[in-house]
Amino acid sequence: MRNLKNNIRFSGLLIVFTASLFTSFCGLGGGNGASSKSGGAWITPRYMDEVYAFMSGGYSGQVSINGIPSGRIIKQIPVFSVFPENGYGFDEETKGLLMTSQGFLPWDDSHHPVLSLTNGMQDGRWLFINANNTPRIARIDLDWFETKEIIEIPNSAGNHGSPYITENSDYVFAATRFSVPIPQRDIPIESMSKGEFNGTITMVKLDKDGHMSIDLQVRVPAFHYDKSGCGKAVSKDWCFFTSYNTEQAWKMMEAEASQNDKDYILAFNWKVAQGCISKAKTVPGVHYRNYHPENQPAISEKRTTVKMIDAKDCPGSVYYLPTPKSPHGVDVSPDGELIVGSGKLSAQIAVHSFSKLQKAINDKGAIEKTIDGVPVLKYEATLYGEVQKKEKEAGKDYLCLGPLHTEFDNKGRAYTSCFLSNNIMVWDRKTLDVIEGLQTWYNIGHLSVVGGNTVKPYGKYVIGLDKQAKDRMLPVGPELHHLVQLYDISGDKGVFLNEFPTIGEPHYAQMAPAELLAKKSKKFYNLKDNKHPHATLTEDKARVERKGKEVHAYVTATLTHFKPDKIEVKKGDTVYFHVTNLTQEYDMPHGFAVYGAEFPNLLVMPGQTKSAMWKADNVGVYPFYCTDFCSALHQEMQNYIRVSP
Amino acid sequence: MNENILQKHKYFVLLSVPIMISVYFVPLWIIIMGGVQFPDPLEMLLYVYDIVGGEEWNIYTINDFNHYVGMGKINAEAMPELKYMPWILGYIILFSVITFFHSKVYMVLIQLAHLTLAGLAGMVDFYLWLYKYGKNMDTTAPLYNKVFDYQPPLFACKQIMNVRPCSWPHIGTFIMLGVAGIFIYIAYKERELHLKK
Repeated sequence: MRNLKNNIRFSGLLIVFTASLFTSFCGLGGGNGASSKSGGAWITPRYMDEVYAFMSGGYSGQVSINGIPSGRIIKQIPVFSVFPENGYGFDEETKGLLMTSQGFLPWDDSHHPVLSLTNGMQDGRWLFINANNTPRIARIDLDWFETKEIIEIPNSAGNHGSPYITENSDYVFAATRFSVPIPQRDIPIESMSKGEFNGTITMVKLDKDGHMSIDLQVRVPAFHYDKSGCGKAVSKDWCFFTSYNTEQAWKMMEAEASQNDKDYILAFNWKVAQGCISKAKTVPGVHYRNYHPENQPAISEKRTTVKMIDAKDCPGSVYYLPTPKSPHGVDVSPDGELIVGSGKLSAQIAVHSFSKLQKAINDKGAIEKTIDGVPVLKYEATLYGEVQKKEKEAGKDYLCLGPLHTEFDNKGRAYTSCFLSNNIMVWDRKTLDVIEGLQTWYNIGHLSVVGGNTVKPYGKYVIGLDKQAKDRMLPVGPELHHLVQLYDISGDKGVFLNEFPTIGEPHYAQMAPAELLAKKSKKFYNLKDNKHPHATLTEDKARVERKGKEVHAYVTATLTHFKPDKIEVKKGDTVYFHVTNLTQEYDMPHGFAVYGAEFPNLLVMPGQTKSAMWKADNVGVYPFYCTDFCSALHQEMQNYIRVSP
Repeated sequence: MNENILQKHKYFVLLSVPIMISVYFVPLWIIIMGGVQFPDPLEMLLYVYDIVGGEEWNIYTINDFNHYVGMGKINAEAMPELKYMPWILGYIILFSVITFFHSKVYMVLIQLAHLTLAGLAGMVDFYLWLYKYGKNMDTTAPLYNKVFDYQPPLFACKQIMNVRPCSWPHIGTFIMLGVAGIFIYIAYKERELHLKK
């Protein structure tokens, strides 16, 4: 027996070894220097990774980018939280992005990064991500890798099932994880169970430049809408939202919301809903739409109303599909046919069929009941099958406990993350047979395959995003960064390649091949295109201007000095620094920091202008200096501001 | 010397006209500034009438860096050569046209002399410019150090502090060499004919 085990272990090693040899010889993606030093994940310095992984930051509110397969952190993009490191949310240019109906908010909880699509394929234009706490959706531009727009979602709370996107980036969606009174008003919390709360499905329209606006909100029964996934190919007109708490409990939900054997997947036909916009009522819905034009201050627009319609008044737009217990993820296969609902509190992965759904909605006999006018279809009427556990094989029990999310590869396989059993279940899309289990450490949440939500996945790698790291990293006090495990899935069996820590709590991640994005990434802001109202485009224009008690210092930064040579103000002045970086070279920002300032570092990219406000409260002479080590004379890049009585 | 050149050779002379006109549109010389921290090297392209960066802002960035060591600014407007070089080339092109109509052997030889002189003068002028550029230093510049020789190379590569400029002829120079080749060929063939007679 022991011999057999050793043999298995040995052949496992052999597989890892040959796989790594294979990847090193083939050179990942045409010679990017991956070698066998760490099982194919080692990228020789100077060579670049094959894949971009966009990780949500969870409670950091940001997005971070890791290179795959190395796992190296390449960048953090500030989105919903202020970022003192570069001034995001503090400077006059980006402050406006964080405006909401509740005022300026310095933080949020970012969950699901979603790449824009054209014909169901990643097009590399934008990355969208939701704010869960104060419902919002952000758009990140993938030329600049910067947040360019944030729209607030009114009449919602807990924007979790968001921002999943349609096949041609017509819409991104938002859904209420916490049903609330709509419109907001003072009513007893207990009335949650009495139908006085509601949920909403929000259709956020994208124009050709990616600008977002709310087209329609569909009012739906007060369940908690959890995750979403949009159809593609045959099901491209549909999006799907899971729900829990169909019990409509308002307290001790861990138990009270977990009583029903089945909750629902809400199937939403957005094409039909689009046709109902003309019938919808204009209702109150204060929300902000903040847009950051290139190299200019962000524009915050307040909007006060939205179009809303009850689901029952737009027949054919909403159906409920019963799905085992508090389903979490709902994911659609590349051909658009399978709708995979993972019963979080069950050991079942329920797979619905889109063609059966099409039949069922036209068959009166398939309707079990209606809830607030929304038809509930019979479980069997739409079910394609259930993924069952695989009996023991070679000492392993392929059991998926707590299935959460599913993604797909280019070889007809599906990958489901299993939170409680700490593994990724790999199964065949046609037969629903389990092929293997890939271990994760520990408590995997989301998982991601490269292009795993497209009509033609790139495949090759799957990552599992864990909630706990425990004994996998050096201890550094009570908390550890969350871990990611990387598997190579190009062969018949998944091969464990790498694991690495991440920033914040990545919930979901989407991955895109490097060739889609690397070449078009911008290197600097062209001074000729700088239309900032306070830009100073040449050194001889650097100056200090006074307007009453307000002083505007037009500062230029270049290798390696600031102009003007000195700034002189009076006590009590409000000083605006407008710093323009005149350097025109890749990777050459200058920093700007002032003694005692309430604003943090301004990290000014080449060709960019950034502004910040400083109160001259104390008489004296104070230094300001460059914070980004820019050259051999970086230390000398400093000047003074004098405050006279 | 006063003989007419062959009909075929006349057309070669005519052919040199459009070929030389193309030189207005291509660089004559390139200086590539590479270095450890310049994986994308900065490039400076010398045209008949201008100096431009390999990419927009390259010259601007070269000037930005060069002020550290005290080198002067590259400024096409302050370079008189760039004003009269297009006229010299124009004159040579015009001379080819005249040679086509007045196709005497001595005209071919004069044109060959033009090409040789223009080429040599160009090189000497370029060298002097580089010399001035590399020797006429602002000695108060932060990184100025008299032990270094800052003069960029006329040909091939040279390490200057932490950068390694390389200087090479570009398409325009090769085209002009080709044109000179055409005239050498004509002269050689005409000489052969002359000797046969």
